[in-house]
Amino acid sequence: MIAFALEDDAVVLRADPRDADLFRHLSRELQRLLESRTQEPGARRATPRDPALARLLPDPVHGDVEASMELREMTERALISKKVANARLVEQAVAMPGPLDEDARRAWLQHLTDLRLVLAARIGIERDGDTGRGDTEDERWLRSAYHWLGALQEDLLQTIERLEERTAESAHESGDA
Amino acid sequence: MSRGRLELDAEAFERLVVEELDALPDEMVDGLENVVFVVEDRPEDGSLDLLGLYEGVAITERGQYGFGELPDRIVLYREPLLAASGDLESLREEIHVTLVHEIAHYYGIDDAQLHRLGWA
Amino acid sequence: MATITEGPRTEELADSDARSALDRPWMTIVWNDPVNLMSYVTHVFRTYFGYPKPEAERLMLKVHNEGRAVVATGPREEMERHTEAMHEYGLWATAARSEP
Repeated sequence: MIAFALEDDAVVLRADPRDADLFRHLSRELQRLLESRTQEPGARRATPRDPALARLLPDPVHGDVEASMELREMTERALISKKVANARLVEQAVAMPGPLDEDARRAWLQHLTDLRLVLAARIGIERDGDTGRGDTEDERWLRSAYHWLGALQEDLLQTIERLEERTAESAHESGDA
Repeated sequence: MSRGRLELDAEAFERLVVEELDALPDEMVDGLENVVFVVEDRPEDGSLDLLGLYEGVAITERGQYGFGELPDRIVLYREPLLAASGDLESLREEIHVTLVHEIAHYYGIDDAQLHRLGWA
Repeated sequence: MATITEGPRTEELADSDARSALDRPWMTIVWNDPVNLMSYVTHVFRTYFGYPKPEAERLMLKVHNEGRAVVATGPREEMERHTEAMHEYGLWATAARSEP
């Protein structure tokens, strides 16, 4: 169980160690996917063929294929590193739950997005309003995870917003003095 | 001197639960079908350890939903939650977190049975 | 006849001259996608670009309703950096020449 709470003016991660395994599994799968890309021969110029990777690592330039390939070649590796770093941070956080500083919050938000992007690609979410395929038990699980992670992300965003409101309030109060 | 335990009667407590439910993100509640939220004083064994319970079948386990089945229940236990909280603020957070936890069960996300799908 | 060989440096200068002659700025476009939460996109526009909340929401809604929105304009390298940053956040973005 992963949940976010506001405690003592900090966003805190709550994680039950048993259920943390699930999250670790998801994060590791994502890391493996990204690492597989770095092993593709001649990979770094062309758009990934895997739709999940293509969505994680989109073509960076519009209207100029050559320029896009060039830019991808220069930047893709760094982008992959950042995503892997986020995944690792989340893995560690889940093993030792506690307060999340600004960098950790950003890593969580970004990593949750990456997980959702891959899940969405796997269950065929292509347009606004698509809820995803659920023909097999596996697909139903993926779909459920996809919706759940969205809910969790929304919960984190709301908790951050409440933190910002609280910080603004106390700044306002002390400013008046 | 000790702070003493936080006290809140059933009615006031339920109001808090409703507020925290309303405050949950749409993403989380929109997908809930035929789930009722219930407040009880304590779990059956009378312990103060259990904060909440999901009674039902995770949606990942079901094929087709809807053959006149009874609604699933998410139960929040008032006294354990009060015992777990020092003040009203932290009680709200505990209620919030417990709701999130139990709703996760509904989504089947907490299944101990890990799906080694190689999905990524 | 003497031949003048254009070395790489000369080519580069010529190229950048050409660019500045055209002098069209670049832009960063964010495209709609079915996955990202509206609240998340607004959050990214606020925290990364520093847009105040109403403007961040306006841009997000533009992406949502019209399919795309220009979130920044400026020199090419800067727009490319912003695009990469958007990709770190999982948004779908591209750098492009501004329309004339």
